[in-house]
Amino acid sequence: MSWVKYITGVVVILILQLLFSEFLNLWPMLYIVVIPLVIILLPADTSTYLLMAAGFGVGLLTDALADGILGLNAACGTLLGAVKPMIIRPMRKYNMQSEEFDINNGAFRQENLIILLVVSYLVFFVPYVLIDGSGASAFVYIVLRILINVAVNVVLAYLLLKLWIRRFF
Amino acid sequence: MKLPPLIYNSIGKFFFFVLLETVCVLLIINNSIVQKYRIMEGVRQVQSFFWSNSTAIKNYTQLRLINKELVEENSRLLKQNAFYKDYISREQGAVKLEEISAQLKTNMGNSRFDDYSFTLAKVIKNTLNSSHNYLIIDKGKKDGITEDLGVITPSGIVGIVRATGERFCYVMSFLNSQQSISAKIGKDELLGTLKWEGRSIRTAHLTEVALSAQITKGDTVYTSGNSSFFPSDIPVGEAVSTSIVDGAHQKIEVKLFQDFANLSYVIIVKNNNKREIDSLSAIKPVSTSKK
Repeated sequence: MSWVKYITGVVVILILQLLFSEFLNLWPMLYIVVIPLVIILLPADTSTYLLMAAGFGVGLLTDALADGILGLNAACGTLLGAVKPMIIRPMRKYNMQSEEFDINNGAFRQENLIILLVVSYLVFFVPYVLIDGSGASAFVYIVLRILINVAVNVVLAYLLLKLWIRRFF
Repeated sequence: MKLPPLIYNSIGKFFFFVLLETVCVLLIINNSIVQKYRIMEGVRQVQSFFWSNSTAIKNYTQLRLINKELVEENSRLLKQNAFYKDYISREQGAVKLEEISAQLKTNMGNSRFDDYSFTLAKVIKNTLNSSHNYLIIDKGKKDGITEDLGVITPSGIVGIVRATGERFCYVMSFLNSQQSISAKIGKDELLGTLKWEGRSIRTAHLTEVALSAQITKGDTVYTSGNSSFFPSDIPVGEAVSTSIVDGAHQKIEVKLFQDFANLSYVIIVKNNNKREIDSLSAIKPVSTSKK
């Protein structure tokens, strides 16, 4: 993977995120977020430090540029960066022989991609909804919001990956 | 000791993660009121959990000291309790002595009451099942009690002090086969010897009463006052039946007024003239006849 392409892709994702945040307000319960893709797209052997730093940086940048709670996306991004190696490790162990295991590799299986997206968005959205919805204590509301956000964002991320990002990288 | 690289790396990642998340939390706290209060609430809960546990641990480690303090306080309270009990007992005793003195004065009904001084005492021990019964009462030498003082109640005689300790004294009960007192009965106030014969704690016998005495059932027996132990005219019991002994004198069965089974307070009687009486009694008659 070329780092120049990657950084360009990150910039594009950030711009998309800002556009979604500003103009795509479909439903109060729904938050369209694409910044987890910045961490997901990084190669599997990327250092955890770098993953966490990337999550923190992109999240903070989104928080700063969009109208939200400063630090919220950064906190969730950092967590996703820290957890990503743990999500990847079982897939790498049982499904892939190559050390060049990453999402951009053509050998990366479809089901693994979906699992990676679902788990990553779950990791991102659980703290996000809990912190963002601090005022609301209804358990059902929190669970529903997490599920809706994970479902919608996974579909969107999958489409983005399939249609454009994977070809670009 | 050098840590294995894996652990070293994991610790580093962990601290880096904590550092970034701390920055995020601080940012959230400083930029959102709702989140700030929610997070601070969580922090307070954690704090209170640690505070309560640390207090519990602190209290546990101080149990020995607390226990010592409690023992000391308990001891102090026991002393205080004993003091107040004693105080109340004295107060009650004083009231009781006044009541009993008034009752005695009424019973005795003569001027000789003033020749005696009375001390109220509490019965500590009272035996009833022996032929040599005795009492222990809570007055001794420190209260001015000496041997050979009479012990009475408004209901009759109880016994005679035979030995004294510093704070207690031993009273030979009237319910003792070795004890006898001088008593009188009837309008003529005929004298006799009142003695307990060991059959019942409510019955005694007045012996050596002159045959001439007209005794009827219900006649009251009083102390004669012939000894220095007891004042005269203390009602002791009433005649139940009479019998003639050896054709020489009467023996009267007396039902005692005093219920020895329910003795709680007694009065020690001190004859203020005892020394003078005893010294006069000690004088031997001088024989005037010549051999």
